[in-house]
Order: sequence, then C-alpha cells, then structure tokens
Amino acid sequence: MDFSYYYPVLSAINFVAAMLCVYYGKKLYDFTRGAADFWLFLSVFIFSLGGYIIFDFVRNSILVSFNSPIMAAQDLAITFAALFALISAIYIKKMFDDMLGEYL
Amino acid sequence: MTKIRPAPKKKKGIKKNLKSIESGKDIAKVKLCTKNKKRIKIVKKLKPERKKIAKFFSDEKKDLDVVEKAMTLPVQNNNSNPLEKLIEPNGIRKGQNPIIESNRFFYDIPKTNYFIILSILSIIIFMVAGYVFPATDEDIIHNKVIWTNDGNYDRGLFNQLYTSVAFTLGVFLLGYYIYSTFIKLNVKYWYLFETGVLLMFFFGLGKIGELVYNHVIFDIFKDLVLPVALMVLAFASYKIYKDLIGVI
Repeated sequence: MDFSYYYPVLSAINFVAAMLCVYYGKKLYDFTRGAADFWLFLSVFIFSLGGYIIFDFVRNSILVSFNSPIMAAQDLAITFAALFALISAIYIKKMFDDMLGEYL
Repeated sequence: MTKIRPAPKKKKGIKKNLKSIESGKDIAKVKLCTKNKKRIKIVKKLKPERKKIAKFFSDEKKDLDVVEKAMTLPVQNNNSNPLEKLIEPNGIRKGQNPIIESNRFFYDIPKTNYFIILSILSIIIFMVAGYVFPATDEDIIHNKVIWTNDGNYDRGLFNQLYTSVAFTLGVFLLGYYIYSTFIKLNVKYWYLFETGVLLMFFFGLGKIGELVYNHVIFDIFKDLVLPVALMVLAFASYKIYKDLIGVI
C-alpha cells in the first residue's frame, strides 16, 4: 500500500481540524474577554501546527523541487508550536495559582 | 399702648410633635387645661403619630443592622469574573478544597495519574521500538534519517531533530500542567483535551522516530496520529466552549 496516496486527504483533515481548534480557541478567548491568556496561546499553538500541516502538504503534493526551504519553514512552525505550548502551559499554571494557589 | 404679640405658630410634622411631647411643654398645657374632652382629643391625635415615629426608627435600625451584618460577612464568590467560570462548572467555590469536597461523576480520574503513566509507557515503547525497527539502509541512502553510511551524522537533519525534541517536550509540559490543574480539579471535558494533547505527544515521538529509527513505520504512525489528535482537540474545544457558555 502506497501511503503517500492518502496524504492529501490526511492533510486536508488535519487542516480542517486545526482550523476548528483555532476557531473555538479564539471564541473561548473572546468569551473570557481576554482574561484567560492561555486560550490565546493555545490557539496560536494549534495555529502553528496548522502552518506545519500546510507546509507539509505543499512540500509533498505541489512543490517537491523546493524541498529545503519548505522543510526549514516546517521546522520554524514546529518550533513556534513548541514555544507556544510552553507559554500556554506556564499561563495555565499561573492562572490556577492566582485563583486557588493554596489548593494545588 | 398694648403690644400685639404674634400668635404662636402651629408646630407641624411628626418630629416637632414628638419633641414637644417629650419636652413636656404641651403635656403641661394639657394638664392645665380644664376641659377633659379637649385633652383626650389631643392625646388621641398624638397616639398614631407616636406609633409612626417609633415604627420609622425601628425600621431604620433594622436596615442599619442588615448593612452592618453584610459588611462583616466574608465576600461571597459571584460569577462576575469569567475566569472563575472556568473552574466552577461543577460548583467549586473559593475557600473550599475542591478535591476533597467534590462529589462529581468523574471523580476517579485524578487518582489514576493516567497522563504520567501513559507518557512514560510511550517513551519506553519508543525506545524499545528503536531496537526492533532500526533505520534501514534505504533510509540512510535516501537521506531520510540523521545517520550516514560512514558512521557520522547528517547535519542537515539535525534542525528537524532539535525542533521535534523541543515540540515533544513543550507538548508534554502543556499536558502535564493541564493534568495538574484542570484534570485534578475535574473540570468538565478537559479530559478530552488532555487526550488530544497526549496524542500530540505521541506525534512528537513519531516525528523523532522517523528521523532516528525506521523512517517509513514512524512516518505512517505520525501521519495517522496527527489527524486523530487534531480532531480530538477540536471536539474538546467545542465541548469546553459549549459548556462554558452554558448550552450543554
């Protein structure tokens, strides 16, 4: 079975799921009126993953000749995702420390 | 010549009447009055007014007592801050230990430490898989893994390895903090989000594996795990949002 045959379909599913995550993350951020910053960073984390997926899709489907620059862009996207995951983790901890620190 | 004295003004109002009664001037006048009927009439007129005054002062005192009592009470936790809604869908209040006093349906989840156990297990399996599925010659020839034929490393792929390791660690940390906050407090639907983050951690391990071990196997694993992880995250975000706005 040539798995690469299904790759565009998987990429499309990934992209739609990532955009849904970003949509609801943004909605949650708006709902909390910006009080919970971690929603913003969580949305950006998923958005970075969405960027990684787009680059992966483009590299494998359309622009095979520009392999190196797109791979570098993917690396950058995944680095940002890691960074935002870290920041949102810190914000979650901070938020709960502010609210009920003595119980955690 | 006789001086004309102005007639004394009639005192109006409840308070003035009360003052005059209390001072005893009017009472003395009434006593001096020879006609009993007149005296009875005045007393009858003053009775309801005195009652009104007494009632007015007692009501005012009651109001003051209520205000003073409210001032002394500790501030109750109202839902004006949307942040507090995040931790209160199941009735957690400030000043209470939510873990001890909660009696919710998914109470067993925090006891299991499933995130930590699954993460450690997956790392062990990942390392064992390195021995079972090492990088093939084909992977090395096609420059898919960091190893090269002469026993050195392909420096170009180190970027990807570094970023994959950073991503995996970042996601692990995110998952750990979600576990130690939302899951431990048993906030609704966050276990779903945590599952999505755990799957994302598996994706990170797969991404490291495709650069170090058998490229094809780990690539397929990674490509299959990522859509599932994203779908779980999207569903969890939807559920959390709906729960927060109170639709579900």
